[in-house]
Amino acid sequence: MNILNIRALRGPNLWGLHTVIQALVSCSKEEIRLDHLPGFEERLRERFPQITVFPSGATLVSALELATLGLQAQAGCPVTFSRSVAVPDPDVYQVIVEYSEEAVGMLALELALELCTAALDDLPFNLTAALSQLRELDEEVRLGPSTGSIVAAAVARDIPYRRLTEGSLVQFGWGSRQRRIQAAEMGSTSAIAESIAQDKELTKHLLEAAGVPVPKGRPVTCAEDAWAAACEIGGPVVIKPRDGNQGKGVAANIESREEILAGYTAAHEVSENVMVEQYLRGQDHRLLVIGDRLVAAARREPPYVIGDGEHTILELVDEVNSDPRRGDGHATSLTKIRLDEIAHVTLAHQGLDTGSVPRKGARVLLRNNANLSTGGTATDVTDDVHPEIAARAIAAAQMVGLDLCGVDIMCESVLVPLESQSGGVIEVNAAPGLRMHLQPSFGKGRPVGEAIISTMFDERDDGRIPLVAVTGTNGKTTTVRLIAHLLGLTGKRVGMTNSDGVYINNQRIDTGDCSGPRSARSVLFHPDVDAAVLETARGGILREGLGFDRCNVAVVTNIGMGDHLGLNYISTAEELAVIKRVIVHSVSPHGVAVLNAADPIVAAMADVCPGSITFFAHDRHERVLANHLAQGKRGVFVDGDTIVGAKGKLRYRVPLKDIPLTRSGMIKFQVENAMAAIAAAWGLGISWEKIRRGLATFVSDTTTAPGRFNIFSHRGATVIADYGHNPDAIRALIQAVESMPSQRRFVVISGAGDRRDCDLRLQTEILGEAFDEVILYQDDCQRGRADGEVLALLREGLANARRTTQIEEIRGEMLAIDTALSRLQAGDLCLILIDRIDEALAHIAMRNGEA
Amino acid sequence: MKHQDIRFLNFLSIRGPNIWTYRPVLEVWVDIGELEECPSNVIPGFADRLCAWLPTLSEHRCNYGEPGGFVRRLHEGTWPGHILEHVTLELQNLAGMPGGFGRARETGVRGVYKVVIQAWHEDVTRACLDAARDLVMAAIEDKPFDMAATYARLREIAAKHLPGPNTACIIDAATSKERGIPAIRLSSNSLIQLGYGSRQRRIWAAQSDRTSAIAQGIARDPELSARLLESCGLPVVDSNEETQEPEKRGRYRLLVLGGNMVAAALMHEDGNSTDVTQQVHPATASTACLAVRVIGLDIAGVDILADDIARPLDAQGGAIAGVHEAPALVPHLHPAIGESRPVGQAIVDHLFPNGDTGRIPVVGITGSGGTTEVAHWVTEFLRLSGKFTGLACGDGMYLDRRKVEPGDCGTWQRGNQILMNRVVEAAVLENSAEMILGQGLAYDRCQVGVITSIEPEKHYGAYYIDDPEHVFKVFRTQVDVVLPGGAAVLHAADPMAVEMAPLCDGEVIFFCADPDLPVTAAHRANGGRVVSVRGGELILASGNDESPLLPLTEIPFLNGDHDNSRLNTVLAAVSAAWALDIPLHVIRTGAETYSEDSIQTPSFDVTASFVTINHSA
Repeated sequence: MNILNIRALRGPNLWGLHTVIQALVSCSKEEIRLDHLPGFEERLRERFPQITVFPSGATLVSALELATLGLQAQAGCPVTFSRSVAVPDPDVYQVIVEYSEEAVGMLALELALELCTAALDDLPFNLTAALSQLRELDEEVRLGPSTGSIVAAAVARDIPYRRLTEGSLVQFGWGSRQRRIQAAEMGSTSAIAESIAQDKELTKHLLEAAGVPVPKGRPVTCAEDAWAAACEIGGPVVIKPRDGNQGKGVAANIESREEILAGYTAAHEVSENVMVEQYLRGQDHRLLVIGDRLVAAARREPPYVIGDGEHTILELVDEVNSDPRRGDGHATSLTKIRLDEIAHVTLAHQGLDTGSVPRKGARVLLRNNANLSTGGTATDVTDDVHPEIAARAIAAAQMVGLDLCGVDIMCESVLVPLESQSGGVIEVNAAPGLRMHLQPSFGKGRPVGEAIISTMFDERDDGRIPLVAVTGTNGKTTTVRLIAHLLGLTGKRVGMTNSDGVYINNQRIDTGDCSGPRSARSVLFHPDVDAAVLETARGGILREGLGFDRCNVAVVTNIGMGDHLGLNYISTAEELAVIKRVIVHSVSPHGVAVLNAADPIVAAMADVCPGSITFFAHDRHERVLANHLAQGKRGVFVDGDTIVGAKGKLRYRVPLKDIPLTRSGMIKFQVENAMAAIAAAWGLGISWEKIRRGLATFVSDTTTAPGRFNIFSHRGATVIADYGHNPDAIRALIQAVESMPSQRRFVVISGAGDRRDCDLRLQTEILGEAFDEVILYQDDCQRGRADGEVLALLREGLANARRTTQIEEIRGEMLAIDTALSRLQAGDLCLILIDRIDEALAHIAMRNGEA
Repeated sequence: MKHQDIRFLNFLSIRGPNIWTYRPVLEVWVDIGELEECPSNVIPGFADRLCAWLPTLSEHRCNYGEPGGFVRRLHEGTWPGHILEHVTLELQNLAGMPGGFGRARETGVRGVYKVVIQAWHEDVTRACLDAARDLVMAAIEDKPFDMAATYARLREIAAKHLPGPNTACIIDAATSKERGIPAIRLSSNSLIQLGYGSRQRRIWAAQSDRTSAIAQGIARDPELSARLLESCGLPVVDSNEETQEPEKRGRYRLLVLGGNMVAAALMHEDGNSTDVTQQVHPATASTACLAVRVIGLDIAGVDILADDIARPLDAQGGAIAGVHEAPALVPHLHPAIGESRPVGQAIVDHLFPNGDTGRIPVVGITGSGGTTEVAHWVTEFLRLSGKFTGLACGDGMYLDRRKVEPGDCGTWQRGNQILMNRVVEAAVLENSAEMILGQGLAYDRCQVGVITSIEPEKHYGAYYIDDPEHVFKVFRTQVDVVLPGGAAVLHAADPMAVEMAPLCDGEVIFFCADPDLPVTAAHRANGGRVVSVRGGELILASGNDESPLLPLTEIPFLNGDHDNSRLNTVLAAVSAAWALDIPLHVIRTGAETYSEDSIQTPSFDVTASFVTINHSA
């Protein structure tokens, strides 16, 4: 068994809405069936007992699949979905396994293959090592608990998110509605306020001005000055570096000269600037202020052990650290107690060392500061905080200017005001850790992620912008452009992706085929985008899944006979439909799928749509459409010379003569595109007045829609350039051409090498019925075909042509165009199926200018 | 035996408007002892020695009003206090603080002078003053003086304490006459508060309080910035490309503020710049603005590499080389070539759009008596009108109803704290004569300035104050700082207060128990406002209109006996409230309900008493 190729599908995809690893696996017929592999399952279970029960007919490939899933699950990843399927190629299978972290999923697959191989060959497999490797990687790459809680709250509110870095920078919402967080820091959090919070002396100065109690004290210049300051303050003091964090270099509750001199030295190692402050009695409390609200409060205790009269402090610490909630970093709810220098000093201060055996019930402190990251514990006291204390914490946050901050308060009790117990604020922290509130060691967890999200997004705001996804075999690009044009009339700045590029507010910012998820993500990240219309082609869906989780409107123009068949194990139109309907599956429950009722494969997609459906078809009597309308649901159709939007008894009419794109309805495929766009605009709630105006003003020419039925007049002949390159597109073009008067008809055509032989032949078979002269051309790019191979296939298609009388073969697209143009006489019509869109259009325009 | 040198008896660090000037000053009391006998013209060679060390003294005009004026005074004969003033100012000038206010005045004591020097920063001015004394003494005694070392030391001190050029240009633009936005320096580095209380904004060099910390982090990560900019279709300099061979294209710095490009400069290799603001192609300007939006900043510098900034970037392969938070403003302020751009002003306009001055209502109360009561009354009116009010007065500092600090808080420092508070929507600050003399006012200007009463002899003795003219100077300080559009509240029965009325930039409201004084009659004849009593009712008069507010019997504070000082307190406070446009029904309610007990709300601390009971049980 070998893995041929692996990809991560990072958005909704063929297999569902989960993010999945999709691996192509080769496995010989001898290996595949487990009943041909005696003892395999037993050996596998010996090595990985937790693997799930195999379904009947399980194969070696399914073993790989279930092992990949099981390893992730055992490592703590929240994953449940997996599948394996055969593909048309012999001995090749696809394994699809959900992941929560892409890197972890990839590693799990690798380890699962190792596990299966070990079970096959009866070799050892170290499950513990594998799981801890997965756990470590997961901890490293997944969001930390603070960021994670905020993301979870956003997800619960249906706010989309995207990690912008491997770190904790996260985008919530899309386009102009997006917000950012970085750990417990919001996009609106002021950099100046953070700098103030970093400067303890300045913070104190500001808090004093606001009437918030703070400890007396001052910065000191040397150890002797520290002692002098301590004498001025009187009583126990704290010595700390001015710009430190996480309690590094802090010595608290010290009074003697030696302690103060030593404390200064320790603090000075962390920062040049050292503070000496009054030591406030009591316990350390952390109050979390978001906006102007106190959201959570925790009492924090320094790490300690309780003596039992038998064990040494070292043993007692080991005992405490064996608690599975205690990890090495920030990821777990508690952190292990460290017996480091500070712990030794703290013990020495109590006349103890790690070998001492404290008497039963004795509480032995291991350091003075209560940070969770150095082994402390937290007890939720949110409901106990006296309103006057809450008011001081909020005043402190406001004075510093932080919209999200942790206020450290030292006091005996939070039940009474600070002023009546000589408590005070000792520090204000930007980007505070949230885990002590999310999972306190004792007491209730608090929904702080929800509180943060609700400050960033009003109750009804999900940060989303209107998003329309468009797919289909033909007409996608025109439909996308038309919908974007209609949306633009509502005053929105529209981001659009299609096979020509990415456009923001009518400006092209990227070129080339941009119908994949990367371009979609760019649009949704762009700060100037108020609405998005995204062409969503099969390639991207197969490669990576969708670039968004959900859309308001999904449009499927048509599938017809399909295009690009034969690629990626997609050989029928039905299989193609399974891919394209992913966008229909992604419609939001309040959204709309716009489906072509005349295309049975498209119409059938209605079954997977979580939202409502608007069908469109030329003929209102099309069965699916008629039934839909009969139920009072929305439909769009043509009634004589008018497009009609109908729902129940409502009728909205747009005369075809007012839609220049359709040439008064002459170009049937443009009528379909117009209907699809109208239905989408209707689904977005755009007014009919604006829809009509948009249709009337939509221009489709070489600038706005290059390669989409661009018409030129060349020395009295009509020249039409189009990018159509599949049988359905060609049929639609012929339909349009037949409505235009012409004496002789010419066509210029090439074929793409990656199409199937039958599809290439079919194109010219169709053309042979409608054109007098056919000019075949071939360009440099043959996509894997031998020279002349495509031309031969095209020529074969013309073998039984009924109308074609002359066939010519040309090397080079521009030369083929020149050949055709030179033969045209007034009254003739020439259809040029261009390949290099921009170059060919420029070439035709140039020749036109010469003529 | 009297000494023959210059002795500093006392330093007063006066941090706000004062009897000398609106600006902060350092006032030093100087005793020149026997030097009183030695004016400059009798010391052989003195003027020449001094001018040799400080040739730029020749620029000083002194009271002759033209360059050379001061040197003329030296030759004609002037005294060390005056010389000290000019030398200190010149040393400040050389240390990088040009211009500035200075005064030297005799006191009633022979040989003792008050020398006053504008102080951008106390420590710097103090250092200049010390150096000036040594220099003048060296010139008097014909001893050597190391001028070079003094320059160097003063420049170093000045550089350490004075705001950098970015901050300075923003402060200057904010506090300019056109904008009139107050500035408070919050820390020894460049953290500045513009505006007061809840209307304030903070800046730190060219960074505003709305500069997002996350955006700052992104801007400081070139790789991440480049990736995000690229994903929005912006051209970005390839980091590898940049390090290869010397860059032939020009490096342009575009300054973007609140979504607009306000200045652009071509950066030279030697650190100089050429202003190119007018040349920037509009598409390039909008590219820079988009880049700033993508990063998420409000103020930023965008570096662009291009051959020609006047042409679109894509036509020449131009690209963004970085987006900087807290951009340097110097390239735009002082380009080597081209026009200086008023970027400080642009930043201030961005922070305070539409001419906003960032001010909250500030009421200053001074006088010889009754000021604390008036302060409490005015505060009560403001609170009732719904404003979170800060009060610093003789019996404490209050935030809304909470007494934050007991004791005398009618000080510059407490007033400053109130104005620094981001929650405070209105401020009432009591200023005693001693405070104006010794510390200066805490605010640059105020909406309402109240003088309760003036009894000159009460103030004689301290600060060498010994005649009514001095007292006049002290109290007029309060009237001088009233904003145009604000009001001075003055006692019409007090001739000295009446004399101050014309000094006020705003209107004057007189108060007086007697409704028919010639002063009030004349004031009303000019359409002025008066608060008084007629027929047992408190009345508000405006020009010819006169309307009763409420009968005095309904004011419990007056307690039936309408003793003059209590009544004047009420009249002054009602005048201030009227000047603040507090609705009349609110003023009436305030007058009906005010009692001295309501000053301090008892804290109904249920939990505390519960805990106490628990303990005692």
